[in-house]
Amino acid sequence: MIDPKKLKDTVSFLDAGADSLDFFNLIVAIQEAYGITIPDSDLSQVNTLDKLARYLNARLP
Amino acid sequence: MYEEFILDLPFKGARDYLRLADILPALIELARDRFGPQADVDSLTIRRPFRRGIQVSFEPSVAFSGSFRVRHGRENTPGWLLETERPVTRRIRFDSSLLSAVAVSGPGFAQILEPLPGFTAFDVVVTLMKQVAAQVNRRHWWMCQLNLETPLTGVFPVEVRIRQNLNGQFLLFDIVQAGTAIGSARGILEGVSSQEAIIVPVI
Repeated sequence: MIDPKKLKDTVSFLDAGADSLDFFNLIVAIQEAYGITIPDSDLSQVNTLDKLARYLNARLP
Repeated sequence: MYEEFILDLPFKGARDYLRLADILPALIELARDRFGPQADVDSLTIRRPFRRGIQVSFEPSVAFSGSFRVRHGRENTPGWLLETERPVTRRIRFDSSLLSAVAVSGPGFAQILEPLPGFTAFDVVVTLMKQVAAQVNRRHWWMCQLNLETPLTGVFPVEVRIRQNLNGQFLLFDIVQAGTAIGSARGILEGVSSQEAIIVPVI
C-alpha cells in the first residue's frame, strides 16, 4: 500500500510503497475517471505524481 | 477488544495454497453470520498466496496479506486477512480440468453454459479467468482481485472477458452472468522464479 508520507511529486509510486496491483488499479482508475486509454508504451510516463500530472495535462482537453 | 476469526479452509486438489475462489465463500458465510443474511462480500483482494491458515480481522492491520469489504444494507465494512502460523491440515479432492473441459472459449473470452455439480460459481469464474489468461501468456496467472457489483449467484451462463491487457502482465476481466456484467476481476502474471514474489514491482 502507498504510504502517503512517502508519496512525493518525483518519487515513483512503487518506491512510495505501492505494489504492482496498486499501480495496475491506479492506471485502471485513471482511465475510467478520465475516459482515456493509457497504452503500455506510456506506462513509464505515469509512474510518479509529477509525470502523471504532466501526462494528463497533455491529453485532456 | 475486537473480534478475530480463523477460516478453517482445506487445500483443494494438488494445490498447496488457498486461492480467491477458496476464500470468498468462507468470507461470505462469515459476513452473514456477523452482519445478517443479506450481507455479501463485494470486494476481495489477496496480495500473496495463503499457504497457512487465515485470520480475519475487522480492525486494520499492517501485516495483512489480503483485504475485503462486506456490504450489508447501506453500510460497507472493510476487513483484513492475515496469514497465521497454523498449518492447513486438510485437503479435498478437486479437479478443475472438468470445468475447463466444458468451457467454451474464443478470443478474449471464455464461458460455461451450465452448472457442473461440485463446483461453486467462484470456482467457475477463476477457472474461466485462467483459461482466458492463458490466451495471453501460458505461464501461471495469479487471480488477485474480485469486485462484484451484484452478488455472484448460481445462474448460468457465466462468462469472463478480458477488458484490458496491461503490458502483458496485468489483466482486467469483466464477469458476465446470464448476459449481465456483474463485476470485474484482476489477474497478475506470476514471477518466473519465486512463488512468494508474485506481486513484484515490474514497471
